[in-house]
Amino acid sequence: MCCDEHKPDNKNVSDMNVFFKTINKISDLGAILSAVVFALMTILLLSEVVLRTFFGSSTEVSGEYSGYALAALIYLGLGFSFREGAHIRITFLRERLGGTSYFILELLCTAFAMVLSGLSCIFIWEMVLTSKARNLVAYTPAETPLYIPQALILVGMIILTLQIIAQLTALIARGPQAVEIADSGAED
Amino acid sequence: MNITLITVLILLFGLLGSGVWIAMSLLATAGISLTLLTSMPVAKIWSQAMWNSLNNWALAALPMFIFLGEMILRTRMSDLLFEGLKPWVQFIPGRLLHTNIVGSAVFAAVSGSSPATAATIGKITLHQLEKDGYNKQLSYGSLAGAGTLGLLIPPSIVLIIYGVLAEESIGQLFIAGVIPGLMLASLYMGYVIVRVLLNPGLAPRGREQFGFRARMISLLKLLPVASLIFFILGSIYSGIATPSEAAAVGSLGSVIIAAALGDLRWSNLVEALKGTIKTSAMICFIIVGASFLSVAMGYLKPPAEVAKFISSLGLSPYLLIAILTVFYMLLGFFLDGISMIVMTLPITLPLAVQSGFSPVWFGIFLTLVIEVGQITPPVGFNLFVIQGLTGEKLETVALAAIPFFLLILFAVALITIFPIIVTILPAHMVG
Repeated sequence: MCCDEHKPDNKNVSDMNVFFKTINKISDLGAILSAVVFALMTILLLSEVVLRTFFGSSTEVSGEYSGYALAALIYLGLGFSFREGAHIRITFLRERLGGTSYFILELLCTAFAMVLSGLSCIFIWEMVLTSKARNLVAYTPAETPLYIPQALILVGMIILTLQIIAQLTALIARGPQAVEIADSGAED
Repeated sequence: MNITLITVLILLFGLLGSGVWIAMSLLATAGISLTLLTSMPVAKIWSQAMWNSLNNWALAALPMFIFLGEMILRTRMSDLLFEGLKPWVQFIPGRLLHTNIVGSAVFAAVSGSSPATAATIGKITLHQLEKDGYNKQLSYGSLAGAGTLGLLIPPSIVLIIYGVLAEESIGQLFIAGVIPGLMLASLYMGYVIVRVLLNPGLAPRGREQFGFRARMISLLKLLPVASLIFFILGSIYSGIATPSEAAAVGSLGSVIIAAALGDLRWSNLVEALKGTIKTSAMICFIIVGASFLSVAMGYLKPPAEVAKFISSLGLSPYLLIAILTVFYMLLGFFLDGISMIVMTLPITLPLAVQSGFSPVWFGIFLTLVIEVGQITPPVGFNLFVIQGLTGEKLETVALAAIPFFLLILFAVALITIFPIIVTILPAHMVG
């Protein structure tokens, strides 16, 4: 769903629009970062192939860092992909409900997702703090401090949580007619 | 059935059925069952699972293979593939219908996704087939069926995920999928030939003539995709590159070829990247949820108990495979393939191995039964794709796909009776 199409129906509209636009911008920024990490990951793996095949050498870190890169690029892209309706769900029950009950179910699902996403942020935050406090490093020659890549997935989860909050707000603001446009598609 | 298992199942199907996003349903089922049924530090296990599940170099191949498919879809490479194949199918009864199947098989060798294969090939073929007066049922059905080759012929998203979960070599799994994939494609082609021979009205009369020159040009048109296949599969099979590295080589290759074709625009690239992020985030978030659930299951122990119960029944290997096939078909009515694999693997893989099937063989078996779910309603992604391309009713497309669905089941029977179809190539692989 796109929050820009939000209908002006009260005087807080401009504040609301700023709220939605900001969160959309943040999600877009997450997606851009995700694409950048994707490109860096590809370049890293390419360098490894070239170094090993032609120079008998190695980057030493391509396995380790491509793992971090994958985690980072997925989490940073979550908010964007959620807004675009890319995440799949079973629509069997929702298709059989009409009007208000559909709306209530959608509201509950979104609120539930918000709680889960929020909890995940708190738990990951605690993990990052623990990693930092105990100076946890990867079991690799690079001995990368784990809190750095872990902080990236925290950023991604926070963006997702903001995006879900925006979606929930939009649902509440628009009322039952919102679900007609807020429906998310399914794709692989 | 014990309390633990019942709690988990009620939570899982309750959440999934209410329409909570699949990834979120899996996360929540794991978190809630651990909280209710154990005294484990849930928050810690939760965050560790979210981190460990994706901090994985083998999974890095997944977004790159998705990107590769996106690039082909969004540039002239896909049109060239169709034009290049056209002269070579003229002598086979059913002619252009075979571009659906051969085109999908070729595209599958650079793409790892079934709907992506159906979408890319269907975008080019369906319109042309309808214009030329080919039978709609055969044209939709063969595309729906052939799309599933995307998962079986390497690279394959499903096999990457299976390899990560089962801790099997993804390179071996990829190579194991080659012969079953080609076999399935031949079964599809054979079916189309038989149908057209029995009823010539299914395909238009006459055939297009192509001279020597035209044929040589058509080969040139196949070159872009063929060279990608050569580099990806060649580097994996010869042991030069891991599947992740091969995916990186392929991604770079797709960009270079797009540039060489004069088709590398900023808009193409941005759309391909957007598609990559959306699809990868969707799939990987399900993996996150499923990993947490399988860690939770490890503490709760029902999979081990279920597996123990089933193995205590002393089923014969063939009966076990028959039961698993039916089980996955039923599950396929409700869930997508990736969710199915990640949720059931902790139970079904040990059972299969105990019955004497190799993990590599089981990966190919799973891929085949998952393909069945791709072309049966209500959650058959290939059907959605074709519905989206044609505007036909879901029922029409689903009916057209039935013969191809039966052919997949036939392929399952073949690899079960003759496992060597799967195991022969990996046994000869380097590295």
